Amino acid sequence: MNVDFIGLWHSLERLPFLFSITVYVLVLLTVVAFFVIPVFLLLRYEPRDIIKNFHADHASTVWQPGWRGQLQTLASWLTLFNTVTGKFAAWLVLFMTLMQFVVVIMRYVFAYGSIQMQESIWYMHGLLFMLGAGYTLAKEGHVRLDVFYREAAERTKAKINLVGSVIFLLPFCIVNFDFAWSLVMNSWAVREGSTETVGLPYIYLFKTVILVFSVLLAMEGVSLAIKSILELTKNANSNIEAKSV
Amino acid sequence: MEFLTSPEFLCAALFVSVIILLLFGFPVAFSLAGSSMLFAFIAAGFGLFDVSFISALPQRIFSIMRNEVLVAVPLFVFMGVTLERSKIAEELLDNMGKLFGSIRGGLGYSVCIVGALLAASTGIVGATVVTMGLLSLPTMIRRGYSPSLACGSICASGTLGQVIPPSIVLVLLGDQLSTAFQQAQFSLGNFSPDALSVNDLFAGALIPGLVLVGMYIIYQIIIAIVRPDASPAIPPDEIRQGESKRAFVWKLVATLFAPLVLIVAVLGSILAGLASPTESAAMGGTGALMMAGYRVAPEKGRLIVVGVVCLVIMLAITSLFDLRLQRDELTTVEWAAVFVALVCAIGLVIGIHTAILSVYAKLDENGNSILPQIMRQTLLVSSMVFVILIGASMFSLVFRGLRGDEVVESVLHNLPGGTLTVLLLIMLVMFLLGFILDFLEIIFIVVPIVGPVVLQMEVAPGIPMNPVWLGVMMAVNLQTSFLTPPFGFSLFYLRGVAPPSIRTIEIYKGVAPFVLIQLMMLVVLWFFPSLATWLPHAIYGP
Repeated sequence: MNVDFIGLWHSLERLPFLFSITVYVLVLLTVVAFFVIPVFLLLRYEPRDIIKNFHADHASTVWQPGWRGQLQTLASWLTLFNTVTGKFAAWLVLFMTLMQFVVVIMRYVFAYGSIQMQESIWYMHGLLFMLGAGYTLAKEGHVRLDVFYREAAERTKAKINLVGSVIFLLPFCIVNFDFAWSLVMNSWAVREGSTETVGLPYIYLFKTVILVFSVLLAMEGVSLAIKSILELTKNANSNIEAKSV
Repeated sequence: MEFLTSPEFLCAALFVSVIILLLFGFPVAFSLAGSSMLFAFIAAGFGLFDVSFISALPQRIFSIMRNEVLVAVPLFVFMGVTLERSKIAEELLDNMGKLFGSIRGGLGYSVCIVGALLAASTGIVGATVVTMGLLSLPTMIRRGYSPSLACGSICASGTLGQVIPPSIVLVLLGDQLSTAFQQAQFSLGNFSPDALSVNDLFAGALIPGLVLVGMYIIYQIIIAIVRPDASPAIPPDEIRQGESKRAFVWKLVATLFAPLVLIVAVLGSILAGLASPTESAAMGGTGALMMAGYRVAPEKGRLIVVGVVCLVIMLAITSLFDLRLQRDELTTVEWAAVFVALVCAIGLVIGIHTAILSVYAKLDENGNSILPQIMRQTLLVSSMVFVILIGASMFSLVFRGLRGDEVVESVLHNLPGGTLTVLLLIMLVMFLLGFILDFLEIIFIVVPIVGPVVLQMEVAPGIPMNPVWLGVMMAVNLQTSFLTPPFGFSLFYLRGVAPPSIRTIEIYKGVAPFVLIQLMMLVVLWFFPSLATWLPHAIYGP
């Protein structure tokens, strides 16, 4: 599997100026979101500082020694990763609104239509909710049927979340990844492009987002399971927690 | 044993077990996907299910990702959240209350009208109910309105966002229904069917939505006449607080003008067939951004106004001259027109730029910029909607793999009483599911299952089922499910923001008449289908 970067670059050059800018910005954002920021944070801060900063709203989250601390670090890293991704993906909302606005104005005023710009809006739309799915889970944005859940005790909620992520969420991510794998690989093999001849030739990259979606969700699912385990085992270690405060 | 492996039993078992597992409270999207997948694997273990059915899931996900109609959802959410966060909705409510406050029952009418206006601009039920519950409810209670009447009108008006276009519910419903309609036409042997578009559904829902607003207001007028003490008037002098009448009216017009223009532009361009919902959603989103920019920093608003003027000039030039650029020859006048249009485009860009910077510079009470918050909120809502759609796709794949579509078809066809019974049954099921499920799950689960079957049926001999009519009926029905105690979502939202002095039972009592109005509306629609079908017919032709 070798990426044809030179071909990619050349096909970029043929694009209209406005679109190229958007692509550059998107690539830049993705690279920054996925690599630069985590590495920067890793070098700059201790895990316990990150936990404090990113979980300031969770008063119960305090640095703990031993396996609990390690699990907590892992959960925080996973959530941090999704949070950063989600916050960057959120900018796509503004970009896609403006891009669609530009498309409309160009079409109705100057009768000039660009299929590539139109398709870039689909790309942004797809990226928006696929990359944001894990962040939404971290932010409790996925709606629950909370008729009983709302009134339940914290321990019960933790049990539901633990069981749910282990038997529903994680298997779903694994199965989806597995099924998507062949789809994506086939797409890469032929460098699948748009069905329109002048469309964007990046369908294979776009389809890869399905794999990324599974991974992001699975990461957040693991994080949710860990947080539930920590909640469930809290009483046994309550004396340690009290000290660390 | 024969019975246990029959498709009927398996489908019923799937449905019931999924609903039960949903009730535990794990996020709906993943409960739906995970539990139906587990069910499929267990069934496959007994040789009752072919796993290749669910291997189509990634393809389904991909078609959601590049569905042009669904792009309208994040754009409309963005528009709504922008209007909400920049307090434009609050201002609208406040001024409308002042306008109507001096007549008996006036605050109630203003809630209905603002509900309708917000519905026409955002279509987000939760946000509308919360805004009105925080702003109008305390005023109404202080002015001596009966708590149950106040709560009922707020809850009901907040749900108008479902029916009055442009609404997210109608976009999603239209997307699902058009697939179902296509399948139905294929199985009827029509291989080049007329497509059902979201535009049709928008046009179809407009009149029923307005009739609903009218019915809400008529109900309140009746109450104001029968029980004057339930909704007293406010003395006019108290409202104006010493301002002269002219200044007061002028202020009202100024605050109402921009939102009204936005709503008319968005709705008008869709209904006139000029723009697809996605396109007008982008116009609306950008317009909302510019309004928000003006609202949060009026001192820098001149550039934004210039931008809007530029847009108007551009549109005017477009209608007067031929601005198509991809031609060989342009006359001098046309070149001049193109030049002016380009200059205007630059002015528009500067206006939008200023608006974005103003909104970005605006900080909320915690010192965070509101623009990223608007975008994150939009991301959360869109992701929630589409991941539920992914989960529901998994469910419907499994359901189809268990031959559920054939089961539903045979059951519905063998019901006594024909189409009327089928429709009543479907409406009843949707109504009952509304007690526990959100509208999203109902649309994504029920419509793909029953849609293709129902749309093949005939309302009366020789008259085929009209998909627009069915869609509007479903939308009105889903709106009812927001209001039904004990688990209506609108009630939950209002309970969350209502002062503790208001008892929950008062909210339920207040909502009951509005649920009845909703059901009356369904009956009216049944007997006068042209309410829903006339406008799409008049605009887009048969």
